[in-house]
Amino acid sequence: MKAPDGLTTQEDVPGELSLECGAVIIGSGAGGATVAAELAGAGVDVIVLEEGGYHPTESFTASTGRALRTLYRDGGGGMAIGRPSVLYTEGRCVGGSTVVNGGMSWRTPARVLQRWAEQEGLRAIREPDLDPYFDEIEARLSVGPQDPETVGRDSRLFKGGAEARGWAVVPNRRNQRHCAGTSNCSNGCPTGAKQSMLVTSVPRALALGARLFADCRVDRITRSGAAVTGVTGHVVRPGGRRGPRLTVRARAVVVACGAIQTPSLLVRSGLRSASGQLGRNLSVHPNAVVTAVFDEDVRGWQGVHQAFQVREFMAEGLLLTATNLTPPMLAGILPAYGRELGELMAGYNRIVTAGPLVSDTGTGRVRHLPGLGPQVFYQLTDHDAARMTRGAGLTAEALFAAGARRVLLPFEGAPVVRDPGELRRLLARPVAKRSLQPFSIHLMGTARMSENPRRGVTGSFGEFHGVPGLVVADASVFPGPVGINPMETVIALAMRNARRLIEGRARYGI
Amino acid sequence: MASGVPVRRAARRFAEIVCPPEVRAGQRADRVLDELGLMLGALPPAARTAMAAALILLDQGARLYPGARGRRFTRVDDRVAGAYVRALLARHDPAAELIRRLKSVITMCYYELPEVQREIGYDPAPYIAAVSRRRLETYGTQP
Repeated sequence: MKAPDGLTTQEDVPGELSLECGAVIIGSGAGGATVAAELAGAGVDVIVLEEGGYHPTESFTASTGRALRTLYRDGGGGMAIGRPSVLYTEGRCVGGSTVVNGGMSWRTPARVLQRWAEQEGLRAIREPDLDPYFDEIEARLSVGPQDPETVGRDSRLFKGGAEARGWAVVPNRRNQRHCAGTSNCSNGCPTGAKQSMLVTSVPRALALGARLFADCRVDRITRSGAAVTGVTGHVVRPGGRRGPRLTVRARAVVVACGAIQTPSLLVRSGLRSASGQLGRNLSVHPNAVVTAVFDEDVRGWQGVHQAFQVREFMAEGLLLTATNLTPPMLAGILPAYGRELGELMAGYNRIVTAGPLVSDTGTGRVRHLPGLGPQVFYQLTDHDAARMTRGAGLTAEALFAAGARRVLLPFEGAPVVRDPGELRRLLARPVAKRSLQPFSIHLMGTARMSENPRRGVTGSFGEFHGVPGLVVADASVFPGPVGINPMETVIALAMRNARRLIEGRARYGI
Repeated sequence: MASGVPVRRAARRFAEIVCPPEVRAGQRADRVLDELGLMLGALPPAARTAMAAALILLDQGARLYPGARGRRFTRVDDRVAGAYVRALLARHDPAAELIRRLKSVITMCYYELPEVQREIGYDPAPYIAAVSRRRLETYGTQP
């Protein structure tokens, strides 16, 4: 498939690559692509480097295995070490995680912005400051509720169950243009309806003159004195083989590799933060999956999943939603194997999967280990474990209210639960934290913003304290968990950081 | 699967135990291993090595399991192999964690096979084609 003008893949790079530009952006996801489009629109000479490959809409299929291998880092198999460990995934392709996320688009809650502003002394970050950015993003990415005819039966059942319990339910908002409801979000949207960076800010940046190099991994950010001078890296050949060397000279460097890779790159580039917070303060919004078996045919894979969110327990930091999993993903998490797994999976079309997202109070750490790269450590706190257990219980309650006949809880060794009474009796006993099975798709906070360099790695506009021209533009800069799907917050902050950079362009010479 | 014969043998035996019994039909086990090879290829080298090591550990570790009477995992019958895997998965230590991840990956590979998906009533391609066509007819190419 031919790449669009301005986009270069490894196939086009036979030997060493030496480039020069005003600003080099590392990463092409929600943060990187947004900054690229902003800077290119202001006439800055922009180069975007993306470690993953270029996979256009026409290449997306329903194959989970193929998607994991081509669109995700490490086949989607990230693991934060702890008891219990937390599995996590990161996108790695042109468009980043926006290519494989569910497309949930929510503004940062006002109370979260207020807390960030007050705790870290951040400037221009309260609701009235960010609302104009959100307005612009939502118009550009076509954020809105789902067309009703595309909502999946699994979502409708879960909504009905939650409403029967009297809980507040809201329709989800997505960045989509008449989503067809293929339920293929996590494998890449095959219609292009999801307004991921792949089909929005990336082509926009290219049209405005940015150059994007896919299959290019950055090894280090280079500096002269305090100021950044560019990056060095290498081309990634098929199978992950190391290709020719890459050098980009630039007067500004924007790091947007996500909350795991960003601190790792900064540390291996020799950067240190006086705050001691670089790589620390990791929040993960732990999720869990409750599996329910119904008598009726559900076919959760027909129609969009996560069409609604249960907001009843937001004050407790809990969000509940129904998320359809493909057979490989479901088989991978079910606490069964052999014949028992086969019997459960035979009823795949009668299964609804749903679960809680927890706004975590604990934090983890990303450490860069030479030869191994970033290693993630995260210890679920007792408080968060208790809320995760409660969230799983509430999810199961809603599923029973919707007519579920059997429920499997996300606790190792938990028996199959057959009615709400059994559920209550089971949850009346303590659930061992180590038996929980959390996973994460929201990683945040490892280069947190604070006006105080002793508390934060970056300032109010993502600039690395003490390093002129180095800006972070991804979820690493969040001072804490956002408590809701983070994509729109990432885009808004990236847009804001880019415009700040443009205001100071004379200072940076870009 | 790119790794050596002992690793492949252990992976195959593990697949026979953790996947549904139908994995033994036709060439399914081989195709699960092919999928596994592709998945392992997407992992960073250290994780790939850890997975291969976990399979060797799984195979040799069975010698210490009382029911195996000193035999390797690949040499014990289904009943003993099943009991051994059950005992491993019930533990809470790093080795068990690795085995759980391996179980996850191998069962994912099994349910990635198109005929297995069809058997459980999952056939998304025609559905995706139909709703995509409906979207195109309703909203055109530039909605």
